[in-house]
Amino acid sequence: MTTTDTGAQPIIELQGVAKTYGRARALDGVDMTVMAGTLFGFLGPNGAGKTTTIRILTGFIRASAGTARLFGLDAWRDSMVLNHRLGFLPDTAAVYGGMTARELLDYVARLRGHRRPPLQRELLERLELSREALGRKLKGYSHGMRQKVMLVQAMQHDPDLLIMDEPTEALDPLVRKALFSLLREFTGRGHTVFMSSHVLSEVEEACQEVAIIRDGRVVRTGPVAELLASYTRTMWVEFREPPPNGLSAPGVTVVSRENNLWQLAISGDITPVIRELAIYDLVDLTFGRASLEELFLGYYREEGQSDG
Amino acid sequence: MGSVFGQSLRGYRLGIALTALGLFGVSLLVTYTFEAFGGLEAAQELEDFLPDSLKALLKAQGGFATDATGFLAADYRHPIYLVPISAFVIATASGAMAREIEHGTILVLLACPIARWRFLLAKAGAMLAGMVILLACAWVGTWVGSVITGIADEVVMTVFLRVLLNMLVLAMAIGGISLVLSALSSDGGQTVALAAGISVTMFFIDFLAVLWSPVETLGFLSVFHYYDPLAIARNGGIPWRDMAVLFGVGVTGLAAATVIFQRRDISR
Repeated sequence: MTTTDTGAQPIIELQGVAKTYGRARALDGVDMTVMAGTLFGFLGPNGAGKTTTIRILTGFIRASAGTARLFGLDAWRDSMVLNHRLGFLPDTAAVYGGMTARELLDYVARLRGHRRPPLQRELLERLELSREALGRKLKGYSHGMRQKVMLVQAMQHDPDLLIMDEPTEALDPLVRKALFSLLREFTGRGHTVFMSSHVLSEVEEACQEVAIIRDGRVVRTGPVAELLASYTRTMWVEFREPPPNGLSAPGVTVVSRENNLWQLAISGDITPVIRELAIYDLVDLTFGRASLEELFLGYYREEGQSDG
Repeated sequence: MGSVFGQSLRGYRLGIALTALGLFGVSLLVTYTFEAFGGLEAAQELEDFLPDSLKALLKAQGGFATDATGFLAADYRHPIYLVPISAFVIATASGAMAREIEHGTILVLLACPIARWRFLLAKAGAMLAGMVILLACAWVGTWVGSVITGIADEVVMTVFLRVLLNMLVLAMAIGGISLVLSALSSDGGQTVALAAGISVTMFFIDFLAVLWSPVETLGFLSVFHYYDPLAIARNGGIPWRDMAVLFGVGVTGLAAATVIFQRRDISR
């Protein structure tokens, strides 16, 4: 499924990607395309297949079936070449405890062929990693501080594609804000960010496009605004005098009527509904704003219902 | 590759320093003990007194107290040398892949443009460099001990260079086996336990093969079968055949580990 139609190049292309471990099926035919310059959110609860997908993209594991391509190259076979253009933040802030943060950043920079990575200084400033902190051994760092160091190592060489597994884990709200600001600037320069998360409000705020994964399959993908617009939201309207012939605006379904209080389900554009309601004398109107969380939970409720 | 090599060696530095100090001390002590016991005569009395099982441990059934060099060389078969060397090799080999995968630290490194086989070679190189440092310290300990105790004229130090060369390829063989286990696993502790178990089993196969004729024919299965310092002291020269077997095991292990590591999924 292509998620944008801007004429940009596809950076990530997954087609029918499956991964099995013995009888267990971690991924079951994942299809997804991420275009250049996109901040892409990959949503799903624990065990849905987010980390497996990311590890296939980074060439750590080989897909059992299907194709995974980055920049048009095979994610497994060409991983060495691809790694020149990649920045990666793993799901765990695993670091060498005996190293200082400065040593770790320099070590990773050297492995990438950089003496002075172009973005290192700026990232250290904006993520508030002081010179004093950089000189301390990582084993003494808090989880949040380690995560900041890991973010710097992933971004310091200004990669064309940044893949991040739960990047906001353990970060305080101020650092999260700084990170999202950095990521927006990053995609503004034409780079691409692919991040997994289960913090839906953040993804909704930061990402332009999302994919929702459930049981190893991508169940929905597209621009955030488009997904939200297509989602059915709930409105409660209390009329002084209810409409005698019901409501006729497109996309409106009356879910329940209790005296003068009606519950409406609205899908698509809300303007025709508001126009029609304006004809009537209303006591109250409550509108549940569509959120990614609602959308996400909707998919998981469906799963629960289908599971019986 | 140089960065991984350097960083790995830095990571091993405490282990190398402590083990090297221990091996230096042991070599010094063994040399001092020879003189403190009363020299060659006392060593010959000790030889008569030792049970066959202990002689088998040192592969010294034909006697070891012919001269000071032979006495000291026989000690290089003692577990007091073999255990620290094997422990270092097993610990570093298991750390090369299995422990890095277990802790997740490998993810950041392998996301960099470095081929897996280069990563493994750099780790193996650091392990080899560590082994050379350890064995050099053991040699220096023997030399310093012989000078301090005044038996330097009786000890042929070039024999110990050959003994330690033999021990180096023995360590490479153990390292090769351990690297295969490390490449297969995502659990550092499990790798250490397995590699140690295999090494101890091989040591006892060799020990029993010397001591008990029904299992004599199985001796060739153990890497320790190809390590005989006393024979080097007695016969002179380098035991090329034994060295080739041990080197072959080490290189085959490294090659197998590389192929496995190159193809495996990096997941816990």
